[in-house]
Amino acid sequence: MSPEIGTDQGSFLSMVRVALKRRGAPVPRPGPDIPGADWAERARRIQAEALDRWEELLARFTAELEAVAGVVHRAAPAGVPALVSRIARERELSRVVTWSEPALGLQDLLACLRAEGLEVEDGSPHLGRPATSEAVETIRRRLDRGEVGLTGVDYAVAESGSLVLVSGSGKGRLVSCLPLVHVAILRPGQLVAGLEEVGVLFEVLHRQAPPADSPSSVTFITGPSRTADIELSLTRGVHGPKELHVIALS
Amino acid sequence: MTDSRSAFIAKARGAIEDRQLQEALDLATGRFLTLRRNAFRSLPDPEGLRERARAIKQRTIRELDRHLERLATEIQRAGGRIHFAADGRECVDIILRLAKERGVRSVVKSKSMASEEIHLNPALEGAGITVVETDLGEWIIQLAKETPSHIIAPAIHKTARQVAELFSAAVKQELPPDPEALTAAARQELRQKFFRADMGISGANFAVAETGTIVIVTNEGNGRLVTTLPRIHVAIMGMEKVIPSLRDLMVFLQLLARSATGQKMSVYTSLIRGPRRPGETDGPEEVHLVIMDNGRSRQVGGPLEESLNCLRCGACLNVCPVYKKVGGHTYDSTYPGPIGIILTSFLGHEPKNLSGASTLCGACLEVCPVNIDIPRMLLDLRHEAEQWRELPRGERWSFRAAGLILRSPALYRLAARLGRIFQRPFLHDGYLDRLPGPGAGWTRFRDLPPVAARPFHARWKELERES
Repeated sequence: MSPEIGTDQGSFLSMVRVALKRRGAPVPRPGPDIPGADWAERARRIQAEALDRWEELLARFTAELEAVAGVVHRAAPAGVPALVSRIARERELSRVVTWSEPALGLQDLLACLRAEGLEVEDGSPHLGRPATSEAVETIRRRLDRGEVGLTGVDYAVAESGSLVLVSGSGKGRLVSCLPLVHVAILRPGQLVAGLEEVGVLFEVLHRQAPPADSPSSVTFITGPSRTADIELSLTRGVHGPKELHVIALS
Repeated sequence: MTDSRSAFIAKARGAIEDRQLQEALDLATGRFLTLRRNAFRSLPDPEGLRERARAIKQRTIRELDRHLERLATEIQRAGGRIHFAADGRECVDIILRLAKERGVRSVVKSKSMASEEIHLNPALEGAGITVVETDLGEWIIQLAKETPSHIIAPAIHKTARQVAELFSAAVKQELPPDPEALTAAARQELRQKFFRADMGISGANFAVAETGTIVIVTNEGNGRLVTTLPRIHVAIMGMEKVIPSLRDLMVFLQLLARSATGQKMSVYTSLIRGPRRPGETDGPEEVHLVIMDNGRSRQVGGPLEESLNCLRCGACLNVCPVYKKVGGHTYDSTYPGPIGIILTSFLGHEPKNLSGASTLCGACLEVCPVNIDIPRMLLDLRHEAEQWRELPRGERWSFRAAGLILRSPALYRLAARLGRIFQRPFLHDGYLDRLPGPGAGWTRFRDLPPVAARPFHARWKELERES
């Protein structure tokens, strides 16, 4: 970009500094930052608590998610294919797109879903680095045809009924966004009490990876897509999924 | 200034006579408030949280330069690009230039107050670029060639029938006036536009300095598509949207949706950090953030500084007795309602002072998630508006007399006694509804309570005797 468009960073910031100087108030000294090791320790405690209190947190999560029209199912890992198949069939849907199998963490899941008679495609396959535009476009079209999107989650928040999905290899963003129905698999230990706990986990996540390797996107999902823009009448599925199902693994 | 005032009054009259609008306003503002109240009840310490949020904002403003610098560095480290715009014109130019250099022909947008503030859409269209607003309410407004009437519910003034007409024309197919069917049609039509678009433009609810994260909150999911499908994503933000850390973000996320729509969390909160990584299958190839001043830095250190804490939740609109009657269009500004009056007084090139459009009742301060003292700032703006006005002799003398009376208890009592006698002919149903002569202006738009039959100081004395 040529320099004549916009203001350069230096001039912009000195404009801000002039304003701050006029303000005159003493600049506060930043408080002592919590050292990285302590963040890791706090994160460990949160994760241990997430496992210990799983049942209690799941009860709260279920109540909150149901309040915003989400549905929570419970299943053993072996029961997941049949459950996904039932959800799809009850809605007369058959095309399932998924996170890649390793990211879902259940062995042979895709094959088992196919054995249930579903049309299953990997919605975020390994494309090589970096992916070509054509390959990306193919995946997009595949996802747009998908009717059910099957993903895992990275964290979930009990107090608000939210899922937290972190993007990455095999964990495409659009799998949870383009299909009409989103089914997410939640594991014990992923569910934490509140947003403040997520904040601590994020600190650790960001301290570990250099920015270029860190995820490009983290999404909080709290219920199915909704709008009330026409006469304030609550309508679901305007751009994102119309239904959100969470399968809590036991 | 007088022009904007009389324009406001004229528009307000039209709005008050519009029965459909009055119904929509009652319904929307009433519902948002009830939901908000319930949502705040589920917080263990709502007041503590509001204070924390306010403290974070104020601490950030005090070191705004440092946080902006950090934000720029981190965005770049994550592979994003950063641009600075001193005013709206520069911001528009930056985006036009980006679009031109990259051969952009169509743009999809998620709701962005900043883009409305700088009138970005007409500029893009002028350059031959197709622009589609993808928030359902904003799309309705765009098709109707109107402006939003509420920050959160831009199309509350439209009926389902009117929306059906607009959508039918857009998709070239007859649609029934049923929200469910209309939403489904919009999903299909807009999905195609998402896929074809070269550039997605969004606002930013927050930008996190420590991590270079842009945060976008939507309920429909259009924010996710705008920032994922097109090959270029451009976010525009006022420079005051920067916050230091992700922990701080969690404080605001607990407040924003509760204040705006009464949800605990909006459906989708997207944290975006740079473009698609080598191993990822989706996300844009380029991410740009434009940081805009447009009148904001002038307020730092001034009486209106705390308006820079605003989260744009719209809660103060829903409680404002003036907004609830006149609706958003009457303000003729990107930002309506109580906080809108403050922002409109300094943003962009044509600021105006609408500080008279308030009863100073203080309801806006009570609901603000970051405790912005809007009534105090409205008074400051009024002071500014009156400062240079040459008072007519009559008015000058009346105020001088009022000053004398208010300073002397004996004169005050005498005036009250006289008032009780002379007000009698003007009392109707227990109110002074039409005063004569120079008093007429006071009662033109409202009724005044009469001077009390038994003054407060008399009642107070009695109470003291009793105790």
